[in-house]
Amino acid sequence: MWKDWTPARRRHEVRLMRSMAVYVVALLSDVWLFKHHTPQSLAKYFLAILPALPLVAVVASLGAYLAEETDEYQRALMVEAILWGTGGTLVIASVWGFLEGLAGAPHVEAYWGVVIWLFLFGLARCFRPWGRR
Amino acid sequence: MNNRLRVLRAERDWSQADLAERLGVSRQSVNAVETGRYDPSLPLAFRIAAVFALPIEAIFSQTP
Repeated sequence: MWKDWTPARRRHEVRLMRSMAVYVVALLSDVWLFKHHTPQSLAKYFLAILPALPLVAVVASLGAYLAEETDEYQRALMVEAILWGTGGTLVIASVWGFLEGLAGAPHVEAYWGVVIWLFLFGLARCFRPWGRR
Repeated sequence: MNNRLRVLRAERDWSQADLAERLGVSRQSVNAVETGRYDPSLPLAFRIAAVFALPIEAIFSQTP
């Protein structure tokens, strides 16, 4: 698989792996910290957004990939997957928002948005290359 | 859109990977164009035409 990837895709995948490794460490550290301590004032806010920073890096890496990719077909596949993820997440978020606000559906934390986005993005990455334009 | 990439490759005994290397794209991209799953942009169509030393309309057509 690695040898089939374009140089831009390889760079993106390396950045992605690094970001996800940082995400796992930050998330586990935060869970442990907030369970055993009670961070105060500014530290509380900084520690709270810590796991989100590598996710921001993932989005930035996608942007860098789209700018660096010279293979137009590969870039088109990535753009389509991003749109599937983004569109699907917006639809689910808006439907759930109304269900929550008007019908008393249970509250879902906003950070699940990125999980849903990654799931839909991944589905599109897996299945789109076999679709017909 | 239809194309004659497979025939043109066969005439030159090129694999998809060979053509991809000449075009500076991935083998998957050549496969997608060749099988009609992806219509190339005008710049890529010109590069393909240049690699085969043929006019674009000798490679791509609207009718089979």
